Order: sequence, then C-alpha cells, then structure tokens
Amino acid sequence: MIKTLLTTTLATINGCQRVHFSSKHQLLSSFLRQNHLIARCLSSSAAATDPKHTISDTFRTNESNPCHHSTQHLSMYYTIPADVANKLFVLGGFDSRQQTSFKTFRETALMVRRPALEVMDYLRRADYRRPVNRYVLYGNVGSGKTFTLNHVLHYGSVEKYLLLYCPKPTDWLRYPEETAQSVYKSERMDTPIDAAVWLQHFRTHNNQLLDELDLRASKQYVWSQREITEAGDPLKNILEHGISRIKHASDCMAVVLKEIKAQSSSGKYRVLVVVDKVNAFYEMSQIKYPDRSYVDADNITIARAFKKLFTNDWTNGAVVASVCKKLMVHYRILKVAGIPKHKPRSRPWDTWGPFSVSHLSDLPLDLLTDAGFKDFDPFIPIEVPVYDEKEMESCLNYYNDRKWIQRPVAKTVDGRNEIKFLSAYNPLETYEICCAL
Amino acid sequence: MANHVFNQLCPHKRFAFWSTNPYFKFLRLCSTGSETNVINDWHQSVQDLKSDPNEESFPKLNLIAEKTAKRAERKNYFGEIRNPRYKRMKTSQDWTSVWPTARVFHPSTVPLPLHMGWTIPDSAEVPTGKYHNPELLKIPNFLHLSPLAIQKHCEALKPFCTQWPKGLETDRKCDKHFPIEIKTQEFVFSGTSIRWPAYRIVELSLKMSDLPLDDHSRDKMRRLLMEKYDAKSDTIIITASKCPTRRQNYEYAVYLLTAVFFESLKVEDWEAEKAESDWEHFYWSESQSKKSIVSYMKQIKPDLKEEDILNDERIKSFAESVSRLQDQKEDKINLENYKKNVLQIIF
Repeated sequence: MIKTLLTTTLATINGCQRVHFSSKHQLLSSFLRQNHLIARCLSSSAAATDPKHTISDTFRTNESNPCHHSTQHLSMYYTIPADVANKLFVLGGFDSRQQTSFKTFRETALMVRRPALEVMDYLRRADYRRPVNRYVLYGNVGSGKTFTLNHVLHYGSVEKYLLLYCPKPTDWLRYPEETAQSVYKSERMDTPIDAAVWLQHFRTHNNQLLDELDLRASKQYVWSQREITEAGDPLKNILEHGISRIKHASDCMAVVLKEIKAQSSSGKYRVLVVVDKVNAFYEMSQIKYPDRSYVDADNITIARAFKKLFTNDWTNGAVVASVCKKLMVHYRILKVAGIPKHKPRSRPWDTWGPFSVSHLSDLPLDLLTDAGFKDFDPFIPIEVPVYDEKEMESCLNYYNDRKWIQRPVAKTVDGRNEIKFLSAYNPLETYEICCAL
Repeated sequence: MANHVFNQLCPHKRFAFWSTNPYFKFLRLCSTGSETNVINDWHQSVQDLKSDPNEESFPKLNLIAEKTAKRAERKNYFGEIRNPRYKRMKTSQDWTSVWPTARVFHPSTVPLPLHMGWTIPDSAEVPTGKYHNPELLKIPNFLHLSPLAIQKHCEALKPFCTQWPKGLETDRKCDKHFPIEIKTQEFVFSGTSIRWPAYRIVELSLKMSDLPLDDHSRDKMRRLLMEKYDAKSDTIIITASKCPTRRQNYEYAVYLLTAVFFESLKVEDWEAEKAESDWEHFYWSESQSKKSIVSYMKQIKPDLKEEDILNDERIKSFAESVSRLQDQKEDKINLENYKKNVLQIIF
C-alpha cells in the first residue's frame, strides 16, 4: 500500500523538488512534510519516524498557480516551477544572495503574504477601460517588497499580461555598462548594452504573447540610411533590430515602449509594468556628459521612455512599483547600520552624506520626491509589513526543512524565540541570522 | 561657642592668658601658699647643701632632674557653656527679628536640623551636620526672606504705591491692551567705567495675531521677518542692538515693526510670479494633483464638467487628504487616509 502511494505522489511532485532517495525512511518523511493528506494516512508511522516534528508542518502549499492563491494560503511557501522561474528572473529579479540561496534550496519558493494578495485582488477587480492604476509598495528595508513584486510578476505571467519588468533601475541610471550620446537628440544619453539586454529579456518574458498578438508599428522609424522600419511592420522586427544592432538598441527600446503604450487602448492585451526601486528614476543619475556634468534622469533615453509609463494617460494596464530607501546612499553598502557620528573634515561624509539610511523615512511620499508624486498621484500605497507570528514560524519551518538551520539549539523553542527577538521579525534579518546557524 | 572654641585652642596660650591677666595675677598672689612653698623648698635644698661641710666638697650634680613637686592645679574659670541659641527659641518667636537681613549661615541660630555634604554612595554615611559645615556657609541662604518678612516689607512699601489700574485684572486683559512687550536689562557692577555694552539691547515682541492683517499680508510679513518670527508661538521678536544707546535701539525696533507692517500690506507686481516651489502650504487647486484627478475623471466620463467633478464628495476628501499629506508630516495615518480616498475613486 505504501508503495502505490509513493508512486502516485511521485507523479504529483513538482519538477523542481528533487527528493533524496537515500532511504525509504527519508523519502517518507520528506513526503510527509509536503503533503498533509499523506501525513494523515501515515500519521501513526509518521510519529515513529519523525519525533522532532512536533511543530505543525503547514508551511508549504502545492498551489503553484498564483491565480488561485487566497487567504487560506497565507504564510505558506509555494514554489515557482524551475522553467518559469528561469524565464522570469533571468534579468535578476532577486539579489545575488537570494539567487544563491535559491540554488542552495534547489527551488524558488516564495511565501504567500497579504500585500501580494492585496495587489492581485486589485488587479482582478480593476476596470481596465479606465486609466492605469498605480500601486506603490513600501516598507522597511528587508520586509519583502521585492519578493512581493516577483509574486505579482509570476501572477502576471500566468494571467497573460504583457510584462514590462525593470528590476534594477539603478543599473540604468548609475552603473550602466556603456553610455553613448544619442544620435536622435544631442542632449540625450543612450545606454546601448543595457537596452539590448532589456530587449532580450522582454522577448523571453513575452515570447508567446508577442507571437499571438502580432503588434505592428504605427509609423515609420528611420534608424539610419539603410535601416528603416515601415509602418505596419511587426514590432518583433524592431525588437530583433535592437538586439542585433546594439547601437540603436536604446531608441528601439523607447519605440517599443511607446508603441505598447499607444496601442494598449485597443484592448487586445493588458500591460503589467513591474518596477522595483522606482524612486531611482526621480533621483540624480551618476552618468556624466563628456564635459563631466551630470545627466538628468529625464535625459537618459531608456529611463525617460520607462518613466512615461508611470503617468495615467493610458489604459489597459497596471503599474506595480516599490520604493526603496537603500539606494539613497550613493555608495554601495551591504549592511544598513546606524547613523555614524559625523566626522568633521571628512571628505566622504561631506560629499556623500552619512553611509546609512536608518534616518530616512520608508514612506512613499518622501522617497518618490515631488516630481515622482506628481507622476504617480493618485496612487494606491500598500504597506509590506514585517513577518507576523504565523509567517515567522512558517519561515523557520521552511529553513528547517531545507536544512538551512543546522544547529540543534536553533531548532528548539528557546532558540527560535531568540531568532525572533534578534531579527525583530524582519525577513531579511531572519535570513541573515539563519545563515550563521 | 567662644568658650567651646577657646578651650580647644593651644593650652599654652590659655596659660599665658591666665598669667598676664591682672585679675588672675591677684588671685595667684592671694594664694601664696603654693608658690612660697616652692621657693622655700629651693632655699631649703641650698641650705642643706651648705650645712654639711663634712660631706663631699662638691655639690651633687643631678643630671637626671628629680621629680619636682607637682604644682597645684590652677583653677580655670570658664563660664558655664550655655546651650546654643536655637534650643532656647520658642516656636512663637518672631523670626524676622532673629534674622532681619541677609547674613552668613550661623548654625546655632538656625533651628533646623540641616545636613549638607557628599557621602560615599551606598554607604550608611550621613551628610555632615550644620556645625563646621563650609558648604552651608558657601551657598546663599534666604532665611531673611521668610513669608512673614516679605509681608512686612510689602506692608511697609504700601503707603508709597498707587492702585493697580482698573480693567487690567488678568494677564489676558493686560495682553489685550498692551500687546507690545519691551525687554531690556539693567546691570549692577563695580568697575572703572560706567558703560556696560549689553545695556543697549532692546527686545520688542508681540503676537502677529494682534496685528490687523489679511492672508496675503500675513504670509508676506512672515517672509519678510524670516527668523524674527516664531511660528509655534506666533510671536514677532525684534532684537535691536545696532545703535549705541538704548533709546536709539528702541526707536529703531519700533521703526522696523512699522516698516514691515506697511510693506506687507502692499501687493507688488512680481508677487504674481510665485511658483510652486515658493508655496508656503499646499494649494491643491493650483497643483498637478488636481489636474491629474480631473483628467482621470474626464477620461472615465468625457461629458463631466469640471465643476461637477470638483463638487464630488470623493474628490473633495481626496483633495483634503493630499493637502494633509503635503502640509503635515507624512505618516501612516495620513497615508492610510490617502489610500482610502484613492480606493474610493478608483474602485
């Protein structure tokens, strides 16, 4: 009987979950953690095999389709299938640390949390004939804004939205691979490689959808004397042109975005713009003109083109953005520390200010700045809070399951309480503390 | 107390006192018995030596002094040490007579169990008492200013005073009739020159709400005054110290107030160029926020008129929430309010 059960459950396991077949005993216990149904059948033997798991194991759910996520799935981890995850996050929707941890855990698992459900609920309820709604996520550093955005991105990909994803505007505005002066307008700066890379990812995200929709250019675009895109040519051509001819990539990207925005009112498709750290667009850029003066964010072609998507003069779309205060410090720092004492006659301090952000506000208005607020108003601010009790338990259970927490002390109730106290229920802090355990 | 101290002083000085004082010399002369005895003994010892010629010719040399007979104890006349004054005080006494003016602390006159001093922390030590306590001597004591003393002073001054004006019974009434407050400082010092530079400083203060201003004038006056205006207490404080004399500074302060007041009533041409960055508070009706919400509503229903849009309840509360967000500090309450209003409009 057990053998037949095993075979059936093997069929239902998601592809990315690789179970260790070292022993039937271990196989049983790992199944138990994943599927409560089996746990109920084998409860008697479960007690014999896993006396340690006295804490409830409801931290996972099988529901990998975000459309079906609802409040009953709250605080549970769901896994994104590996192929979908690769497709969506190839640009790097996650921090490098998170990506390595996904590799370690051998799966891309996100926790279903209230802010994500709220956004998805609004996306379902919204009237898409009206101008676009803007949703701005805000919260403490490390409270899970990026993860929520990625959850929404996954939802958008399943629901067949046209995805326009920008995970790191700071890459475009501060550390571009290459800058070149625009041919089209002399005061604009192009970032050819970044634009080409983005176009590639746009293609991977929306390959199927673009084939289905078959969008066409509305007017003629002259790239150079010999390269012209006529009106009525498919947009895919512009994409391909941008990817192959890197010199024109920024302009191609701008054209693609413009066309998508203009043609969205036809109602054939819905656009989901997902932007992380959107307040980077309204901050000073670190790109310089040849005469060493700083370029405005409005004068960087791809940034300008993307910014035009944030206003609400188009329909059939939604903009989900998050604001982050870490990028306010122009110096790359990993740890957000307390405000260091002002050192007099310290040049880095005078030039860059304090190397910490704990004195800044988390709230969207302060971070978006006046110009940003004008663009986004009226928007819906959504708070991403730190973990609550249930979510914290679930997170620690997951780390236990993935054998991320090794020390036996950390698995006791006292140890867990200590982790909870030290991290103040902050998701990032919990992760960092458990890294050391 | 004098006895007490004197007794502790060097005994030899005491001895000298007793020996030089003529009264005690007389006493000594009277009590001849003791002194003549000593002299007689001496004579006797000399005679003893002389009366024995058969004995050794040499007189005995005593290297070690023999014990001389103890002199009789001198009677030391100290007066009876009375108990300190504070123990002889009645509670019904008149303290103002005991301590009429400011004076250095005097422990036997002050009927209070005072202790003042440093103790080792967490020990059973008690701070030093009032006797032999230099700390109590160093600090000013206000024992000459008991309520009774003050009352007596007031009663003495009353014949020289006039009545408090009628109609100025409360502070509020005083502020209403005398809104301007002038602050100056007087200095008492000893020195070679009569001049004290800080004497010339004059501070003129009044509340801006007491001035007859309209919205534009009030805003303009605030901008003209800059740091001389305190927004929290709504007071204008003009400190004049430019001129060498006090009268000149007072007149200058009054002149400044007059000039600023009349200047703020005027409206100049260039004031129409006030831009959004100059707004002292958020004017929603001239802001981008209004334009975006109006265009949003028009996109939903193109035939809506602007007045209808603005009269809509939801738009009004939205406008109020935006103004509050911008004017006041952005915090979670204001943000939640804004979110509620936006959701009302969008969904």
